[in-house]
Amino acid sequence: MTALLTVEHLSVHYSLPAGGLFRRRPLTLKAVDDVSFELRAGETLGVVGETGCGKSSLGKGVLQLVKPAAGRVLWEGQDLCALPAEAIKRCRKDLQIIFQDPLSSLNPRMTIGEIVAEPLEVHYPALARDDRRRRVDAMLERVGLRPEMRNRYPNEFSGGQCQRISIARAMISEPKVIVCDEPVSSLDVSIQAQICNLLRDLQRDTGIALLFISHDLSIVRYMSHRVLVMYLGRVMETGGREEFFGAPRHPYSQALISAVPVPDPDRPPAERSLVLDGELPSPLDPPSGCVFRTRCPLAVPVCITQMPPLSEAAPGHGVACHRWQET
Amino acid sequence: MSARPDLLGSEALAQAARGDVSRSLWRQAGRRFRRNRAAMGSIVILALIALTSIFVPMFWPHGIEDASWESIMTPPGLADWHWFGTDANGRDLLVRTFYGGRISLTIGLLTTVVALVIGVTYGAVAGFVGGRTDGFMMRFVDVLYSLPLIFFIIILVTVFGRNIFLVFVAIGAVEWLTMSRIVRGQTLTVKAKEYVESAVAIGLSQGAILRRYIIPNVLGPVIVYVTLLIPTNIIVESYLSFLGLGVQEPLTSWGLLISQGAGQLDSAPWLIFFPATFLAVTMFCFNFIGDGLRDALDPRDR
Amino acid sequence: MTPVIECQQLNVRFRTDGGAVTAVSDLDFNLNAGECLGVVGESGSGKSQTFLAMFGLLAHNGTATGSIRYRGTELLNAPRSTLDGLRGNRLAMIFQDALSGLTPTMRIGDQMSEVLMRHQGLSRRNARARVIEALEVVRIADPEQRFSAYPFEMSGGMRQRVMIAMATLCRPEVLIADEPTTALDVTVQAQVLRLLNGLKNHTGTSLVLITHDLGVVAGLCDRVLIMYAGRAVELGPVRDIFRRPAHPYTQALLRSMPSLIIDPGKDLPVIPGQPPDLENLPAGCPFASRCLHTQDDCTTERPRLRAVGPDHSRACHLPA
Repeated sequence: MTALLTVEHLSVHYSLPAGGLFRRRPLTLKAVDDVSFELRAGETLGVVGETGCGKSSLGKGVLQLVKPAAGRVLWEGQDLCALPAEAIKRCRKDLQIIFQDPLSSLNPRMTIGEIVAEPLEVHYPALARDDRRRRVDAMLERVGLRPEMRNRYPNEFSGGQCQRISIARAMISEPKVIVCDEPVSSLDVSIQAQICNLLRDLQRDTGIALLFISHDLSIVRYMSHRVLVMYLGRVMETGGREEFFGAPRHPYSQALISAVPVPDPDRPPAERSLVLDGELPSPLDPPSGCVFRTRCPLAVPVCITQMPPLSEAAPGHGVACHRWQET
Repeated sequence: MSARPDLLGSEALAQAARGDVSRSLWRQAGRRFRRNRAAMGSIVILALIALTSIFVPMFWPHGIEDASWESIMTPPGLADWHWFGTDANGRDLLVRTFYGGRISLTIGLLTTVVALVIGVTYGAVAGFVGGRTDGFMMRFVDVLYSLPLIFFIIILVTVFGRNIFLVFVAIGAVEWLTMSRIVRGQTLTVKAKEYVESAVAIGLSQGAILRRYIIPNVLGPVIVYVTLLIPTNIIVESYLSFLGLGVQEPLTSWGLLISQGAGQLDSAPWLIFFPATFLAVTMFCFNFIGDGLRDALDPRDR
Repeated sequence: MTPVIECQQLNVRFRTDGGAVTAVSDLDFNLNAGECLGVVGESGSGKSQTFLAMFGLLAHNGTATGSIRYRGTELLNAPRSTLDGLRGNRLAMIFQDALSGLTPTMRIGDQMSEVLMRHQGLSRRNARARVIEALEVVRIADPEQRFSAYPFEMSGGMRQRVMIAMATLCRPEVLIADEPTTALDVTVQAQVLRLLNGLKNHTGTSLVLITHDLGVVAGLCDRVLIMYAGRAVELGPVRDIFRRPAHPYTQALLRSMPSLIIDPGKDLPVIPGQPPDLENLPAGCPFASRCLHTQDDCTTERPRLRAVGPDHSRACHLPA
């Protein structure tokens, strides 16, 4: 299958204001550093990593919500990074986003109906009022809310319901790609499953592609066809779900997977988890060579000097580690 | 579980059935505010003070400039309609107090409107545009802040002469500074909210984002600040008048009356008692209303 | 076995704009010496409020009735002097947000020493030695240096470990951990869980682990209390809860949880609907509206905890 969206060598940098009287040069935080991937129609690519690994910045960089410092995002034959602002706005009909905090991502002064109808107003201004309303009602019903709720405000809904509203807003312009930035992380367990299933249903019905960003490996495993693991802005490993969870090759992926608590009292965590020691290095001053080397159990001198390339361990399975053949 | 999840929201619909329809944040705030007895009482008292200030001078048998030799320094009493007594020129204090209320309240309102218009525009532009423009605009505010108010007004008065209009300009020109800082800070906070990002993500224009997302969400703190700014400005005017820099005779204001009464505290205490009471009650009312609005608009603080 | 903590008929209510909210109703449980009790529930289940009530830390509009006793001493609505002598000394609590438990303007070593100086009357010098030892135990690298660090200079995981070190300084008999790892990354969560596990095994501290994550419970706890809408719905040994869950809510929760051992090809069975509104709790079982197998009395009569096996009870009308 051909790629719907191709991301090549994308980097997202933030410049922090120069602090102090004498430090003149602003600091640069490399949130995303040289990340490439493809997203195919109808598939979900899970992006996993811990706090500060740049997974959210990656999603925002792809959608041009932050301006990438380098790299290309190819969408329908054009590079989004090179397009003028007006042209990007037209592409937003097809490229949508769902945020983590369901309540704070909805304007508290607008009704649910207005919130869901807004993308239609922007992208289909010619649509008659009645048609618009019909489509909003159908969309609300599709995400599991009663259309009669359209005149209510976000503060009257629970977290899970607000996330349904966000999904309706993202879906109503019939996009082809949705970036889901931790869409279920702030929800309760029983609501998480509802939202995950809703996204899976919508994907089955519409063939939409999802870039599913999460720190929760269990959910990424449930949602994704392929997985991309990030650490300090760089890709550590990427591969199909079965290969990745079945036989992770990168020592970081292995530690990450083994650290997930398994709901089974007969498997005590102390024995099976490969606990990483040490602290996450500051993203302002990442280690030289391989960014993971300071916590890696397999680190050797070459890791200090050379950044490992993404080696192909198997077709479609890339590992950025000097010692991947030994893992 | 079937492919189609159950329709949700039954609790909210039950509320609708109880007649408790649409609960926008403004409506909820209104309901909370109406439940605040101190604030509601203050509104009533304030309305009474405003209405009496407007109408009493129109119908009272004495005018504000009517001096009467027979009744100099009459203490308060029911005789001859001098309920609040008279001053050293035999002028009726009641009519002067209400007339002073007109001037004080008008100054309070007008200077606040001046501060509101300049401050909101300036602060919203600085906050929304951001970057270098923001830095430049805010440093300008800092420079103005560093000028002492009294110094500024003395310069105005010496250059342009004593004029009530100058008092408006002077107070308004100083008080918008704080307003612009509040609005800018609030705009920056709202701009960083995820819902603004979601508006960018659906391709909404800058103008629409400012109109639908930023302004409605910065309004709350502005309203609260306005109710607290009115009494501040009334006090500033009183204090200017007390120093002889504000309202000039034959016009009068609460500040001026207090200033004149202060000189005769021993012989005619009523001259300071009545205007000071009215001023203090007005201050209390505005502050209660401001507190009530703050609680109503931002329930997290309670 | 004598319980360390006995909670009987605990009710916690809050007055709000909309009326009274019942956060906890008629809760009974015991915490035995040396055990780890997992308290599992979703937001609004009352799991945190139960222990905030025990520590006298309810929000100002909240009231608690019933009884929570620590070795016979009543804690609920106890005078401040009683609580001050126990809190931070015999009973300790750590929170989800480690930053809120640390004073931002004090060096962490000074904050920790103060606890020892106050509760155990140690000199500044002896306290310092104990603090450094405690920081070593929680695997803070360079404890001598970190002694004079400020909280903002540390990462989230480090702060949570400092909080654990601080909570355990006086070797408390009971440690309440309220979602201690929710704000942390998985690899850091693993570090903290290993630490709590060591604490339980080596010091004999009774541990209460409040969490929404059944995975964490499975790895650490001996017994589990499942709460829903302010009530205990099931209480039992951890193995029974996972192998033979007796309450439909527990069963549904276990089934609907995405984990690394489910088959991602199949859709997760979900619990439909929402938890009930705590301002208008239904008359019967609070879970009835979302339950897959209800019978007549589920909506009319509130089920009480009844034994279904040794040390294992549930609050459900359905035949076992």
